[in-house]
Amino acid sequence: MSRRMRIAAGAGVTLAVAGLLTLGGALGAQGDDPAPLRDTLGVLAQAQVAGDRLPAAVPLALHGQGGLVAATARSVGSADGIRYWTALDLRGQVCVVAVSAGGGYTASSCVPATVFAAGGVALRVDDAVHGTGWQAVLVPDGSLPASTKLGGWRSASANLVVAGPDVVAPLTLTVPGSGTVELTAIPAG
Amino acid sequence: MPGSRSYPRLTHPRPWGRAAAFAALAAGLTLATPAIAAQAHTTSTYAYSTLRAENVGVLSSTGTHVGGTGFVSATHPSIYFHIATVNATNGAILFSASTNRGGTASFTHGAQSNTKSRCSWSWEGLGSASPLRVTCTRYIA
Repeated sequence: MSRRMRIAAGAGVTLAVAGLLTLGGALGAQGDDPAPLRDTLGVLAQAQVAGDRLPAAVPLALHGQGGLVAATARSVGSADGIRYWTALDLRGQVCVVAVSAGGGYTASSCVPATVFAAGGVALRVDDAVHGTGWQAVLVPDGSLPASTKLGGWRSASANLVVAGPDVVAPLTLTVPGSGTVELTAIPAG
Repeated sequence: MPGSRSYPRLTHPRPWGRAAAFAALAAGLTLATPAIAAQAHTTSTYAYSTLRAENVGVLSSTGTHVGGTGFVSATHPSIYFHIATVNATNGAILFSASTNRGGTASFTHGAQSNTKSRCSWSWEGLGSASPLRVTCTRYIA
């Protein structure tokens, strides 16, 4: 191996280790047990690709507890002109992150990993300026109900369920290890 | 059923909500405005330990806002939390981000003038030994 190749290989290893340390630090921060994520949010274990990166419009430091960890962001779907990601914050909380198509706003909701594993994480945004509003729930792996049991909710991907702001029907999940969980719709602020 | 929607909706600050917020301020809440990048924030912390509570905090004076974030220390299936930017004149919500299980809600948006930041929260079914800490932060242009 040439000297140039050895340098390139060394740099690659360094970057990989740095990435793992960043992810590991986020997962282990503040004492919340990240273990459930291995079984409940498998998308985090997949390599981050270009489409998974959060847009520059998302001010990482202003979301979650202590800010979002960019390396943990993964795209989880889109609906009604809104793009959704999951990411961890610096306390290891699981977040659902939303960005409006026109860049009108960015929004997020985060819960501890153990809470997410037991029933997901929900977010509602009302945007009177642009006349829009919606609800979204990032759900644990394997908990999505059959399409016939979604009520007014819609499946956007294996981990994302969405609804309009007027849907008040609860969302019933079947969470592996937790059984049936009924999530209430979020009322307007 | 925990989480039923029988409680009043907090669409506008109620007089007692304002009174609670102002009483908390008078009791010595610390307000600070450290800078975060090109923005600033103010944080207030509340603590309650009642079986059921609904509160509204009006955090800011009239100004231009670009978002906010809020954190509820407890996690429970029926803790609702809302962080909003409202019209300073009539209280109408311009932007609001909400959660239903505690945790953290955040949002950022384009600059809106003549606005205030407001957080509100409610819960059902928490025991009296379950203190709830709520932190609200507003983002200023």
